[in-house]
Amino acid sequence: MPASIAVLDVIKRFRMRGTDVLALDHVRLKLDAGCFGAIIGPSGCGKSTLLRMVADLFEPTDGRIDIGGAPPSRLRREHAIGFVFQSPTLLPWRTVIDNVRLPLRIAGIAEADAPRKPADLIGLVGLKGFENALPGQLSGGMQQRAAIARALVMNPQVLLLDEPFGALDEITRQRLNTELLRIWAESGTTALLVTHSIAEAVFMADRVFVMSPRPGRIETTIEVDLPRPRSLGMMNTTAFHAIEGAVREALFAHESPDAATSGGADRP
Amino acid sequence: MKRLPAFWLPVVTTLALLLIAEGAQRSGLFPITVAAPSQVWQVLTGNPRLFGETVVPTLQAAMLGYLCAAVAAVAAASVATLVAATWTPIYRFGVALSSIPLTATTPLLVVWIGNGLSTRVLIAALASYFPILVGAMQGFRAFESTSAELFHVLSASPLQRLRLLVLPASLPLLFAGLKIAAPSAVLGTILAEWAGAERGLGVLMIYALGAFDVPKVWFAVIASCALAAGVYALAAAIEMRVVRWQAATVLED
Repeated sequence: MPASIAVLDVIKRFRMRGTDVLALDHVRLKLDAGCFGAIIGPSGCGKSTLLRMVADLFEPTDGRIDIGGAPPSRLRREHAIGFVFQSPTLLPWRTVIDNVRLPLRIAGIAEADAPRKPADLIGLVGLKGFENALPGQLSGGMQQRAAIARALVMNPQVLLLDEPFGALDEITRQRLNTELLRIWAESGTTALLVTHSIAEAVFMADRVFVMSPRPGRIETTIEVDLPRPRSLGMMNTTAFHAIEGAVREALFAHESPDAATSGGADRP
Repeated sequence: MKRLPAFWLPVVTTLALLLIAEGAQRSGLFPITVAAPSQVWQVLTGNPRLFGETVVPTLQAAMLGYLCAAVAAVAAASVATLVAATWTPIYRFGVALSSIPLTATTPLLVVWIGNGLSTRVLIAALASYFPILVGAMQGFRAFESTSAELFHVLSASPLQRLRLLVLPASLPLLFAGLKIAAPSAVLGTILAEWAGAERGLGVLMIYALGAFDVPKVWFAVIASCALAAGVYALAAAIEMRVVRWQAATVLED
């Protein structure tokens, strides 16, 4: 059962070298159950922090996060959150299939009772034949496929993705994005993706949350009404470019007219 | 086919060097303080009880001391990891222990505890404790920070985190420490035997030196080297069985 995600007026402060830093300021975000959301923003805008709070890795300083009516901590204890990190984070001593089995092992669930069969998931992410390979024998893209299979093995209510293909080359990235959409559609879960690529956000999501930095806040929410299933050909359509343009405009809304040419080099 | 030269090259080289040494000694090119390989071999074959009276007691004390050091170091590293406040004191105590010159304290310990097995075990343990401690302390922190986040999201219990993440991730560094410490345990034992023991390689060294029995001195030296290398090889062999993922080769997709 996919769950909706609601972030309600969340504030996050960190103490860094004795001073209070406001990382996130009154962040509001709503994503319906079964939808695909993308959070986009420049480096340091707190988008990873926001995603980690949804995963109950941090707690908000103020405000509330609600996943299908429950706090993130309850979902986490129920093993209902799937998380894909920027690095594959596979255990190098476990084979691919044993890495995919890890959440079952920790939840104390026998393979026969698994919400999703590890062997099927390995087929779904295109790693058939590599079940018994060690992560060190796989390329970065293949490792990330295994990490996606691991995130889905408990049939999570939400799938959280923190720049999952950020470290890969453009070609592999495009291919894996298309595959991720297929896997997500098949799983029926709610997905929330953090990215810093405008094209990726528009291509993947139903709803794009544009963030601005210092302090991190949601600038605009942009609906993406492109039909599904999405194909790479859609990226050449006028509708796609129009939405891309809207996201870009929102990202650079607070830059002065000459910032883009001179002083804006550190804020791409 | 590629493994064959890798295996045979050192064997052939060693045999060739032994033959050259034998020839050089017999033709009088070496001084009398260098024993011919055949003379050293005769020390071993000519005295049936020698092996049991020298190599075996030294190996026994070294292995016991090594095991004690391993248990103590891993236990200390566990405490340091679990209780953050003890990290620095435990490390500094280890540094202090390893800074003590054992050549100076060994006679003292022999006077205090006597020249029994326990003294030799203690000194072997003191000599090998610190590398294992460093390996274990670094090893218990060696897991990736995102792996810790993963285990949190998966709601792993502290025990699951220890068994499935912290311990396996520590093995490469732990074994690095164990391998460095292995020859030190042998060295520590021999040092203790010099300061007073009834049997062992160290005793043979002192005796043979006093009697100017050159082949026996060489036998003791070569046996010590072989013993140190042997304990190292044992640790390396266990590592190869336990830490298999390190040698993995990379495929492309």
